[in-house]
Amino acid sequence: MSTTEKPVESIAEQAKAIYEARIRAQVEAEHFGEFLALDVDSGDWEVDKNLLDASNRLRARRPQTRTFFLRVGHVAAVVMSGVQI
Amino acid sequence: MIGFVSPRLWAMVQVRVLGTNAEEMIEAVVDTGFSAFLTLPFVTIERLGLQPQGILQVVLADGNAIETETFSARIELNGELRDVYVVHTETQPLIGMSFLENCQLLIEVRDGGAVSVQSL
Repeated sequence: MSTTEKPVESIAEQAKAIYEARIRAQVEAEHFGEFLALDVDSGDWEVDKNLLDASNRLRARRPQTRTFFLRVGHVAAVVMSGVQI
Repeated sequence: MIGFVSPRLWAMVQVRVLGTNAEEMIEAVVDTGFSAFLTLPFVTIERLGLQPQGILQVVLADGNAIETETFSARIELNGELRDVYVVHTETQPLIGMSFLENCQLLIEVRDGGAVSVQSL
């Protein structure tokens, strides 16, 4: 990782702020439960029920993307029970 | 897909995972509390040559959310190859409910019991 790259934690915070401010209202009604791939540098995004499809479409437009994945209407993209990380 | 129940009563299956560098049979625990497809530790992700996709959050059983990286991979399920996203965790590999979608999971929950995953 280069010294100019931002740490993982701030990517999540940035992405959630962008999502709340600019995207959520556009997607929640029609895309509940789908995965949203968000490029944290440009604010560009793609939504799809398939996470990889959203990722691939975003990457096609933004080859240098730093992507954060959200799940529309959910706290996080993935749920995991009882696993120590 | 056939597996077995371990002495500690984990339901174990073998999953064929394909990356850009290699393919392997990975022993994974069936976790019905896990929403996605597959978790792998970084040493395996690197060895297989899985391609990074980005960062996501995982909500744990205690309600805390952690950030981790996700990668793309191909997996084989009942003879079919599927493109899936893999979640990096430093644990025994897990398979989750997205992997099991449209399958029937049967587990004989005893040491040495049979585990089967069959397409519906």
